[in-house]
Amino acid sequence: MFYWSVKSLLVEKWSVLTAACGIALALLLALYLDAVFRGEAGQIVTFIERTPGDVWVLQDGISDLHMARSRLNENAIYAVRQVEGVAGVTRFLYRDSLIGPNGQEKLAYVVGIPSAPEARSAWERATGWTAPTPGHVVLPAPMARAQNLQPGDRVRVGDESFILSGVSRGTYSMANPLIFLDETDARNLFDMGDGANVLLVFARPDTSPSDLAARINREVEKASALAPQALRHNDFNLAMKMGGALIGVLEVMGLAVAGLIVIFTAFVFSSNHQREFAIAKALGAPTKQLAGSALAQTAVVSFLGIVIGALVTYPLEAGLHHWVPGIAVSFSSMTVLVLGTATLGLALLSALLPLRYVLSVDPMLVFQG
Amino acid sequence: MAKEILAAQNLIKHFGSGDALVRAVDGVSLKVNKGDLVLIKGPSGSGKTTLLSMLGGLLKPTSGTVTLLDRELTGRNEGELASMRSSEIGFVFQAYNLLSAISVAENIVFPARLSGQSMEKARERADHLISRLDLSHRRDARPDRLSGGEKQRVAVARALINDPPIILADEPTGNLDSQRGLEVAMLLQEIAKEDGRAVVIVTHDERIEDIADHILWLEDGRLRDRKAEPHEWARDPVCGMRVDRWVATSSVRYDDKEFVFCSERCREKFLTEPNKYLPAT
Repeated sequence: MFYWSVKSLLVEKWSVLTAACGIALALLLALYLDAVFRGEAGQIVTFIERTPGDVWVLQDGISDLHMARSRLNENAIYAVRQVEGVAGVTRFLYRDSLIGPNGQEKLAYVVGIPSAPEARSAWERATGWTAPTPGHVVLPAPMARAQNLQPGDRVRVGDESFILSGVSRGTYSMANPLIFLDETDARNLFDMGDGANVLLVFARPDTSPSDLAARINREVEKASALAPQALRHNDFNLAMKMGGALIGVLEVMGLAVAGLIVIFTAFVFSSNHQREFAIAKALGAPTKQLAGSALAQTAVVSFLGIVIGALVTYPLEAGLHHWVPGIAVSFSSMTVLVLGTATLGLALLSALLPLRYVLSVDPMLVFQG
Repeated sequence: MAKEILAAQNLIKHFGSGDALVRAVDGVSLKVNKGDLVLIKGPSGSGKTTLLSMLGGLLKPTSGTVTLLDRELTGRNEGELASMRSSEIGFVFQAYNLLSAISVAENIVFPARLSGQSMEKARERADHLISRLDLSHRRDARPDRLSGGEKQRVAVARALINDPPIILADEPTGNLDSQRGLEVAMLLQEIAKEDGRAVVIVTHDERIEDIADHILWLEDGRLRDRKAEPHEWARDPVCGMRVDRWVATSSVRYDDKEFVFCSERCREKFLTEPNKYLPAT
């Protein structure tokens, strides 16, 4: 029976392929928004991943960069320097500002790259692009492209004007683009004096970053120290949480569409094969085998759809990066697996509805000419 | 004494109720023995297929019993009936009813797999039947590549795969030209006489009558054995339909001749203008 039901599908390969593509599309619909948020979140944390430093110190009670806008207490900065195992401390600024000409401003986060040559060179090694010198700004490539800016053009940041010296890659997200200024320019722009809202701490070779973060948290009041992995984790999750409800709704919609496609497909296949089910029934096929056969057909079509959907994600991701660089998309293998499994489960559940139709096929159909 | 394979006792099947009640089969009893070839004939809509469906366990009778190899079919649940259909009854249909997606050999093996036969044994038997029914050159072909005669031979092979004691055939020659129809009829006779199976055929095909052991005539839900009872065909002069003179319910004597009619309506029309319907002399 299983062999027959699968062979029956092969006879109608175009219908099967169409139905499978429909399921693949529904799966992609569910995966796409997750991938967009994941891509955005990935872009947001790229900056943390690339920044040289062993421990990030933020304002007390803050555990993600998104909220680290407030100025750090000067006593706390002093105290951090005194903690055993600290080899060096670099202050930098991380503040939001409007970028672009009047009427076309866009909100972005401004990072003041430390002026110290060793900090700059470490940054340049990590990011692969030249850090801005005073009077210059580095914008994310999609942002520069969107505003049709070339190196040498002037860019308005807040109330000041800077010369575009280059573009950075991997630091653009729709919600949280990062632009880079020289530390001094940033301090002037935000009137921060020699203050800072983020400290980058370098550990001595004999001290592990996590031990150092724990020690700073123990010994320094009004400061919160995190190892880069912990900060990355917090910022990534925060970005994902922002889209959590939307992702959930779209996933449910995608699964519902997949379920409807499966029900429709199963009905079409069942009615197309109504006579053959009647023949099988007349020849003595037990109900269990008929049900298994109909479910096997649904499972094969759904599985094919899921495989197509999963395979398409990789070229789709590359294509979107190429054709729509402003949108960061990152499909997660785990999400593909989870949603694929959920789609297959839902498909089999959906197939139970048309299954009743198969089981109630009248074997007397075999006597019709 | 011949072994009884199939028996029906006072079989009744009614459809609808009240004024819409149709007595498709109305108190039919019959016995089919090993090696018998039985034809069930009758006018269209006389209930032949309904009777065959009940004999094959595809339709539950309103009342009465069907016994296959001393085991009663009526009263069994759908699962038990399906099991008996797959292992103890071979079906041949007018429309062949082959599964279009699978090959000749796979179609033949299909009921064997339903009855739980091992693949090896089923293939062995299928090979034998393919060779016997001259289908060797078509064993891997799909049904849409076969002629009508080939399709019906595949259907016969499929009916025989589980070595059933009885074959039930519904108009097996109905879709075939005269030569292919005759070949299939002879094949069914061979199955009855040489294999010793009981074969029941519902048919309109008069050419098969000569090879039948019993010709059962079903009309108005009732059955008569035309080979055992006297009969004589005559033409209804009004509508031209063939009517058995021995059982005709409407008749009239006119001009020293007896005319029989298929119905009261034809008789009344005849009596209104006899000369219009009299054969030219």
